[in-house]
Order: sequence, then structure tokens, then C-alpha cells
Amino acid sequence: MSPQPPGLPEPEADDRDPALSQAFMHLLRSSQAPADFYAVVQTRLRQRQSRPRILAWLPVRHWLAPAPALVWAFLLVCSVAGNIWLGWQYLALESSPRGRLAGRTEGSPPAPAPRSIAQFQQAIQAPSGLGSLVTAHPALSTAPSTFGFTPPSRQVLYFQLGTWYAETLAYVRSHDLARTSQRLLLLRQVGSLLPAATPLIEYLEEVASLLQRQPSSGVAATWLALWETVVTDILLRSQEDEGLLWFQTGATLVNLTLASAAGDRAALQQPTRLSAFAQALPRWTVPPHVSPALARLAGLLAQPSLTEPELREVRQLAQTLQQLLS
Amino acid sequence: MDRWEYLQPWDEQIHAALTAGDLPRAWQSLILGYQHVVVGYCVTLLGNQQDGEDVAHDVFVDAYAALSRFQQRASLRTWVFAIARKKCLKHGRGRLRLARLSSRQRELLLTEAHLTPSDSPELERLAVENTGAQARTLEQLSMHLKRLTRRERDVLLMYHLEELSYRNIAQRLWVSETTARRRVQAATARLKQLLHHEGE
Repeated sequence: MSPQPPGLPEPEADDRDPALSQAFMHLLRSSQAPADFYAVVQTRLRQRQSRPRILAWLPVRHWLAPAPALVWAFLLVCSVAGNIWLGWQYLALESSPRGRLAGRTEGSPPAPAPRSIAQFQQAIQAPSGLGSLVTAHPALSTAPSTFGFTPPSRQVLYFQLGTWYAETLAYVRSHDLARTSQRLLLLRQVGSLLPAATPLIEYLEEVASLLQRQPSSGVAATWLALWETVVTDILLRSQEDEGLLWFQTGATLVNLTLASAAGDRAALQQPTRLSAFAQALPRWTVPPHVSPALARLAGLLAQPSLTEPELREVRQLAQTLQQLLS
Repeated sequence: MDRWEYLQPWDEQIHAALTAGDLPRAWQSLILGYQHVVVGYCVTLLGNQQDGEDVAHDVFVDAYAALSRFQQRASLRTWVFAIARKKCLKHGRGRLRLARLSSRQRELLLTEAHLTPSDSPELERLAVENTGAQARTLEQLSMHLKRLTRRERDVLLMYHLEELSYRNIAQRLWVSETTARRRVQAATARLKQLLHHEGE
């Protein structure tokens, strides 16, 4: 069989069954329109022509019986409005982690972005060294975090991780090798209970190794300062936005304790992520005193200058919150 | 003899009216000439007498708006069937049958209408033709068509009634020519099988 030249209609074998085609034809010719067919068509046409142009799309039978059509139109409008609202909510939800982390609220000018945990700590002026302040004002007990068969919640684990991370940073900056190693061990223990633990633990092991090999070079301190970036990246990628907030809050409370203990009012003026944590608080089950304590702390930190009693109150509030949240 | 020869006088009237720019007369001739065919087409495709008649009314209402754009080069029959098919498929998709006219509204329509029902001369001729065994065959065909799916009825009408080629059917269905051929052959085979079982 030779190929068909392009552009020409393909020859088609007519496999129509003449009897069947004839039967169809007879079936159609035997059909009878209703007696009022012509009249109904004419009336429908006149009614369509008399309709406002905006309703021209509506079939005639719906125009004659408008109630169901109106119900459908109402449902359609409700559906569209609902979808727009849901979309709006979804977009707000999508942008909220970043917005929350930046401590921004709707309608307010963008607040300065909070500094990293290490940067906040670096700005604290402590003549006696941050390590000694941590020893004087320990945040949490270093006892094992699990008792019996009830492990702590994931939020508490993130909070402890942030707390001990900030304390480890303070010790490593003060060259307190023994306590740094002890805190690193705690970090690894808590970190191993969390999802995506492997990269976090491996990083900490590398820091511990650097600390052993070059105890006074400061390389381990630099590596440890960058661990926050690793944590942030991993938690955001694994959709653990809330965990990140708890981690940052734990570290922030340690830093506030250290700054108030050092009497450094300027350091306390640095932006923190506590407001974002306070906004997200209704989503979690926390002791009832947390919310007022956070509000009072935020109020104190917003003041342009703090008196000595107020400094003490900041430290006490931070420590109270540490106890309540851990 | 052309199977559609009996529509020829109507086609000539419609073309003449269109050429003269008399749209209302062309439309009137279209209804009088094609009403039975269109009702038959819609009833067959939808598989329901009431729905078919209902949609057939709208076919002519739509045709009125489209008549001024009708290209006289094309076949009037193909054009009318295309509108009917589109309305039937749209009717099936919509599934909004709750707004069927009430009997009171129907009476109102008839009261408002000023023309008496049309008795096409074609009807009288058909009444003479459809007798005895032929009427029984048609009854069987009509019954078995209802047992097919709408898609099967659609391709059967296009192929056996409208006498479209596989290529044209493929273009209407937005499928390949092979698929169109396969669908037509499958639907034909199913219908024949049903008719054959009836014969046994």
C-alpha cells in the first residue's frame, strides 16, 4: 500500500451499515415535535430578547423560574467569596513564619530584624565574663530530661536546646573548656531526641573535636556561633517553624538574663523574637503565668532606660519564664 | 435518492429568505422545516423524550441569534445538527433539571403565543410511511439506543445519521482519527449486538 501524499484527504473505507443508517434515518423522520413547538420557541425567543443583556446567558427556563437560578447564583457568589477568603488566609499563613520571626505586626512599620543569638551575646558588656554569669545564674537544671516513661514534649526539647546553646556559647567565649564540653554533651543528648538530628549532632561533634584539638584558637567558638544557622535552616526545611521559635526563645531568655545580670542596659535594647513568641502563644498549652510574664517583660524591654530594680525584675522574669517553659 | 431530499424545499426557502435579508422568515422556515428532525436528534442523543423536546426549543432560539452569521456555503443541516449537539451536551453537563417549566408556565406560554401549532406536510407523509414492521423496528432501535451511553449515541448519530467522516468526527470530539474510528465501531457493534439479541 503506497503512502498517502500529505495534504490530500485520506481515502476512507465506508463501512456504514446501510440498514443501520436507514434505520437511523427513519427513526429521525418518524419523530414528531409537540404540537405547541413553534409557539413555545417563539415565546422563548421573545422572552430572551426582553431580558436585560446582563442576564442573556441565563437559559429561558431559569428565567421563567428565577428562584432556583437565584439560589444557584447566591451559592456561586458565596463559593467565590469563600475561596478568596481561604486563599487570603493561606497566603497570610505562608508569609506568617517569616513575619513572625521578624517580629512584625500588621499595620506597623517593619521592626528592626532581631540579631542572631551569638551577635546579641557579643554585644553584652560583661567585665567578669559571660561564663561566670551563667554559672551564677543557671537557667535550667542539667539533670536528665526524662523521668519514667513520660518524655518531655518536643517544644520543651527545642526550648532546652536553645537555652543550653546560649549557655554553651557563653562558656566557649569565656574559654571555660570543662563547662563547654559538658554543655555540648547536653546539646547532643537533647538534639538526638529531635527529628533531623543527625546533621545537628554531627556538627556538634565536630565542634567538640575542634575544641579538643585547638582549645584556645577561637575556631570552635566561631563554629558554634554558626550552629544557629544550621539549626534554622534544618528546622525551616522540615516545617518546624514552631520548634525554631521555641529554640530562639530559650536562647533569648538566657541572653536577657546575662545582659541584666551584667547590668548592660544597651544590650537589653536589642530587638528580640519574644513578641513573635507571645503572638504565637495561644496555639500552645502553657502555664497561665507565661502570658502576663511575657507581657511585663516586653513592657520593661520597651522602656528607653531601666532602673536597677527594673533590671533585677527583667532577670527574675526571664528566669521565671525559663522555669515555666521548660 | 438523497435521504435528506425531503428537506430540500425548506432549505431553498431559508436560503432565499437569507439572501433577501428577511431573517424572521428564514427563521420561521427553519423551525417549520427542521422541528421534527431536531426534536428527533435531541431525543435520540439525550435518550429522554422530555429533555429532548425541551432542548430542541432552545436550539431554535440559539439558531435565531446565529442565523445572521450563517455561511450559506455550508450545509444548513450540518449547521443545525451542530447547534443541537452542542445544546444537548451542555444540557447533560449542567444537570440542572430542577427548573423545568411547570404546567402553569406552559399554559402561560401557549396563551402568549400567537401562532397555532404547525402541522408540517412531512408529518402526514411520515404517518403513511411508518407502518407495520417498520414501526416495530424503529421502536426496537429507539429502545436499544437508550441502553447505550450518551457518548455512544453521539458518535452513532454523527456517523450514521449526519454521515460525517471519521476525520470530521475526530475534529468535533477533539480526539485522533483512530480513536474516533474505534469509538464509532465499538458503539455500532454494541448496538448491533443488542438488536441481534432482540431478534433471537
